Amino acid sequence: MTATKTDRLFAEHRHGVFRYLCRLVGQTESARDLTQEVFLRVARAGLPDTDAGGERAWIFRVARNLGLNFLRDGARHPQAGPLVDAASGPTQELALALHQALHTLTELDRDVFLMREVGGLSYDEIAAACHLTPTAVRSRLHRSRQHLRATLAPALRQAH
Amino acid sequence: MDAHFDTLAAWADGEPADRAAVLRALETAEGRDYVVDLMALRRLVAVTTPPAHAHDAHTAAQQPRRWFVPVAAAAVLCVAAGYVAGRTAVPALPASPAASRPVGISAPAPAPTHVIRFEAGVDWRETTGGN
Repeated sequence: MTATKTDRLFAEHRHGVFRYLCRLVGQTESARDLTQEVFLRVARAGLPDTDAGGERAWIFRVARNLGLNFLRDGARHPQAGPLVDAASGPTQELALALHQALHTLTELDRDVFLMREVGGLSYDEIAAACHLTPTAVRSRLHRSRQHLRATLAPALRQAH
Repeated sequence: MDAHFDTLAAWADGEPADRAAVLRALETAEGRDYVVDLMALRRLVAVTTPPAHAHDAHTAAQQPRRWFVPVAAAAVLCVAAGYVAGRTAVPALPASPAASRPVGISAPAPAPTHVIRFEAGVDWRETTGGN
């Protein structure tokens, strides 16, 4: 892959990948390292010949795999904890509540939800990234949202 | 899965959705509650997720150390070049005091206060007396 194409992909997708990995692994520093690793792998392996949506799906598939491997290697990494930004107390409480609620979802439901809400992927892109059909993506999104609505009802009132 | 929720989710996610179906779904209390909660959930995720520039902030924090190196190298080169230029441009010492006078001064030289005349055969050893 040419340096120009790598630079373009990095410029277009690094923020979405970073935020997705922040939510997935729960640590900002680790998310930064993983984001760099994502684009290193993309640069080495090269993207398949596809359109812009296919590119994003492929990049997020790499990001998802790296994030899941990071979580599975938890014994050799600091324990993933809730994201604690330099924010006021209420925001930290909301972050904790959301983090705990997200980790009560199944792994795939959580990934679909995060790709949609944090990564901004379309249903088709999520389907390609997670090896699902678009119908399955809609179904999992609906299930995730219903579960989070129930779990986070008090927090959702605060977020209005 | 409830058709209303599916329609409203697709509409909120920017996916293709039938306008009439969206309006019908919004006519129900459950549909309106769903959309309100969906937007609140989206906002909750947004405010509790590090902003995109948090990724760049870490990289930017390293920039001062990176540009400092070439700036320091350039400063050293300038000092060294100035030193070399100064050494090579030093003028030759004048052969007599008169030669060090800047060109263009037309004022006459002051009269000598002592005249030393060399005479061959004179014993130049130090003697007492004199100035």
